[in-house]
Amino acid sequence: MLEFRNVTVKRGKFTLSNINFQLEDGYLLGILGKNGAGKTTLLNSMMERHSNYTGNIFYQGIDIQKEPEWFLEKCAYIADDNRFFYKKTAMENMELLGGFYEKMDKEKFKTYMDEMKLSCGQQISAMSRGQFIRFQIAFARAHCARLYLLDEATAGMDPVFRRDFYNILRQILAEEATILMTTHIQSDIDRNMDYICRLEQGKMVSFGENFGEEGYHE
Amino acid sequence: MEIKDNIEDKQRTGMDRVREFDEKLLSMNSDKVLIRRIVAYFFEFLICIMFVAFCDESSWQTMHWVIAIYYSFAIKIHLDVYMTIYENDLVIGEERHSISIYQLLKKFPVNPRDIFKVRLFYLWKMLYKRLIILYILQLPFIVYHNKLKVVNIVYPVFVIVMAAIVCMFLIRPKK
Repeated sequence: MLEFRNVTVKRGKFTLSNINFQLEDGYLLGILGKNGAGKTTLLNSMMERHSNYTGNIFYQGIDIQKEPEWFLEKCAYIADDNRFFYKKTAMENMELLGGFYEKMDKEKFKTYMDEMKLSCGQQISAMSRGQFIRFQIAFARAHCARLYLLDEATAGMDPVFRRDFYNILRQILAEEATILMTTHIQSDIDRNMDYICRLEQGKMVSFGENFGEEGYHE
Repeated sequence: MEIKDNIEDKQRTGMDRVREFDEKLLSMNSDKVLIRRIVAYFFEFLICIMFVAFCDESSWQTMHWVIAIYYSFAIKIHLDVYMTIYENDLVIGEERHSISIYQLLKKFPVNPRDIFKVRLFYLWKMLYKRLIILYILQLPFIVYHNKLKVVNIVYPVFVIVMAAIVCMFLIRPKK
């Protein structure tokens, strides 16, 4: 379970204040809001070791500030501006960076890359945006990530890609993983999110279960 | 309880992981590593020549600062092999992003302190070997003047401390 307890994040002049929610494993949480609402700040607050936040973020009952390496092993941050070795192939990246994860499995990585219809020998710089996102998902699944943080992963993607993409996310959720995802696309929100967290100008205005086009219940 | 056990059940330390990462990175970039090392050794060779060439006491006095700074940069190039080789691979589109290893790895389960400690270890390995070389290089000076001065003992330490200060600045964690 992921729990935010009275979390306030300060970043320059911007403040994301008083975030409180609990999310059980196996669910997809959509984080919604306009540009500058604090969606990426919310995700980054979890990933950054010395994140300037007050309050507590608990994952599986453990304060992530107290066990950052353990948390980062369980976690996968997926975004199109994520840093990898762009001139190296997908497999070389896995060999280099996968070494930081205790559970990284080369064979699983190959299998997931095949499932994603990606070649292990392809250079990262030669991948399209969609391929790069899928590579990151294969990488995350190969190191047995349990918490996925997806920052605008489907932005600019066509509907066919998005449908396939959500099918992959459903497979991940079936493995009792948890997904937090920022998005602007209303149809994606209606069809795919289990819970919705709405942010406005640095404040959480609502959190509740999603009932598709009927709306959501707090 | 199971989670706690998992935290403590680490097969490899953070420093082991950083070392493995460095070794793999170096083996994948063996050609670039070789070029950098040749440049660094060439610099060091020049310094050795200078040491012997300026073993005349008055010249040596004026040259010691230059030698110290040169030595710092030679060691810096050696450290670059470990520190910046990865930058060549961090190209996004047409734009080149020069970022530190700390920035690269900040979303991976590695403690910046472990990266710093591993680099300190490389630095120490380089420095103590060069300290011995500096003492050996002074032998012609001592033989030429037929006397051992305090400066002959202190100067190599001074050079190494200078190099260490410059390199510590270069390997510090950058956000």
